[in-house]
Amino acid sequence: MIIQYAEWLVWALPFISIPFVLLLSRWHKVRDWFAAIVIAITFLLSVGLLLDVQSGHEIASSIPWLSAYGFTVTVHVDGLAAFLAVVVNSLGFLIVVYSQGYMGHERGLPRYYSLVMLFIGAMTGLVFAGNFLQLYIFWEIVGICSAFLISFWYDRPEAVRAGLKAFLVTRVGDAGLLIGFVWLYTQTGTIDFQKLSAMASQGIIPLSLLTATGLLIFTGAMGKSAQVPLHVWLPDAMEGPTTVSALIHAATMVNAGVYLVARTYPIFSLSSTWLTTVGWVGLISALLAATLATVTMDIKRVLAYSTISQLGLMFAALGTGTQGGWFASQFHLMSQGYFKALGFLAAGSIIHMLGTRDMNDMGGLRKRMPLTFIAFLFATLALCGVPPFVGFWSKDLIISELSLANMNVQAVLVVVVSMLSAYYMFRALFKVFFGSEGKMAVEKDLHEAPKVMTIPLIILCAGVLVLGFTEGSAASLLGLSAHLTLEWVTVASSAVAILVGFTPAYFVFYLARPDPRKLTEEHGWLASLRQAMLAGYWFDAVYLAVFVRPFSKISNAVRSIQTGVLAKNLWPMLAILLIIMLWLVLTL
Amino acid sequence: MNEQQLLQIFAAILFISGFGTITTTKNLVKMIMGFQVMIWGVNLALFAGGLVNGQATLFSTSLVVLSISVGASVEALALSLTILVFRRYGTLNPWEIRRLAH
Repeated sequence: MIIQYAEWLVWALPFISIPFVLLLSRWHKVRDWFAAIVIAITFLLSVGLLLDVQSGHEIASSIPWLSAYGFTVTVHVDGLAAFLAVVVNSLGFLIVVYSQGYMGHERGLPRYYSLVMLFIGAMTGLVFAGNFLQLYIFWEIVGICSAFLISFWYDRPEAVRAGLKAFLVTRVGDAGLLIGFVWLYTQTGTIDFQKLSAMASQGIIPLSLLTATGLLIFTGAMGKSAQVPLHVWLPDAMEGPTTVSALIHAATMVNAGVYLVARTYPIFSLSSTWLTTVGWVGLISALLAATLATVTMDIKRVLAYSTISQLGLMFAALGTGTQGGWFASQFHLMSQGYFKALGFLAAGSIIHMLGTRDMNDMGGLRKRMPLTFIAFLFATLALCGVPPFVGFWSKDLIISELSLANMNVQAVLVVVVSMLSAYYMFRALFKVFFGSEGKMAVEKDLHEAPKVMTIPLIILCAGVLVLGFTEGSAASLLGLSAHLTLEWVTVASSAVAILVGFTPAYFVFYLARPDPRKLTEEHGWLASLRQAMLAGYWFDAVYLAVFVRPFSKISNAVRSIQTGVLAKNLWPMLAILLIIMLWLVLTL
Repeated sequence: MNEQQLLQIFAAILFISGFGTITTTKNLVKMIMGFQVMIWGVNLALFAGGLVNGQATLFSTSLVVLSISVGASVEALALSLTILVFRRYGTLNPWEIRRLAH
């Protein structure tokens, strides 16, 4: 590496630059492009690190910290970390450039850009972390950034609620992560990933401990990566700006969970219980979220549910316990990042021009926004897994790895998920871009978004087209020894799945034969199924009844002690002091 | 019970009576007086804690002197704030001065 300390700079630079964003806030253009340039530099640095790792040497440097407890601050850059850092920073850069157009007229932009930079920097720091404690610190920074960015429009009550919900729900998982790694530390005396995996492979750590701590740590991943039953925060997180959604779904937040499982894979994959749990939680989330995406009318929610579903597929691939499955999950993470960012940014330019997220108000936008249409089409094709888009390579890799590991039930379920994803993505595409023009489009005299927003879209389009062919080099970068093969059975089955998903969407939402409204009216079970899905299978309702309502009752009861008069609030304290005094006098 | 413990108990009584004044009075000036009584209690406890074989040490005495001077300046500040509060709200009853909370 030409630049020294690149492995530190790449995540510290955004942190250091945040005060400058605030200092430059008088000159709006300068401030906005300053943020973009900083992320561009970190992107170049991460590419440099990737080339370094590719040429054969891993980078590990550490400085002592709390040395009495044997901790160090370790930056460890191996293939996996460098690969993810490039994904995070490239997408982060494109999203920050896109923000120049999308967020141009908003207030509170210094807050926006400083949080985005902190978000990207923390995510890069997270993937470079060499031990659990360091990872946990960055993990929490990522969490708080996402909560603040989701409630960026703090004068909207629903945005504040969504941010708080994201924060609280992921906190449930984070508690598991914290307990898990502290427990592991008390038993093994180390939190370093490499030492732990060496100990695990030598059989020093008992299997029961590995299973228990592994499951606790997986809870953290479930919270961050929005897996059932901790998925409820992600659809609500759509209240934030679309650029933030793109950042959360493609580059930063949700990838942290998958990365954590991939990073701790050498440690915990010895436990078959852990592998089975990871795989099935992923598959169930993938299926549930895919069905939910088929009914929602909010274009961003469709993409949000599809994120949960794709993340579920990654966990399913990790559940195989093989090197190939591990690689498939990370490759799908990259591929998901690109096509989901493309989808969100395309949806963002529609929302930016139209001012609504409801797909009923859209329609016929194909002619007015041709570039956005092509971008969304590319995102749809990539998500469905049409060759030669990147989604084809990664999704079919997951299916073949599952069938190679003799997990045929899981492989079939993944095919079902990809069928559903073809249905909901084409449904969104037809509803938004085809059919008659909506009222709002005509009223507002809609046209294409400005260049600063379309150029990132074009770059991402090129990305989803060509990135699939990097599979071989990515595999060698991540140190995969096994040979990757695409079997004809998987390719054929996924092609059939796409067709099976596409056909009903085409008939119902393009030709409107049969009419979707009539369908639900005629078939009662369809209507009730739709109701259940619109309610998100009542996860929210159950949480509200079991956790939220009782808790707010207790807090209201405690609230009545607080009278608002300081003197009255102090009376209990006086009483306690008197009791202590009495006790002292009596014992002396 | 030696004289050190006696002093400490007396310090605790001073502290609690000052605290009781703060929580029950409806006059800001009396509240400050109660606060001052609490500080005396603390000073006495400091002094009593520093006794070695019934003799005061230099260290504890200097701490007490420092605490007295800090207490005096805090009292001056509190009294000047009281004047401002009276000008602004026209009352010295802390139970009524709640507009900051709303």
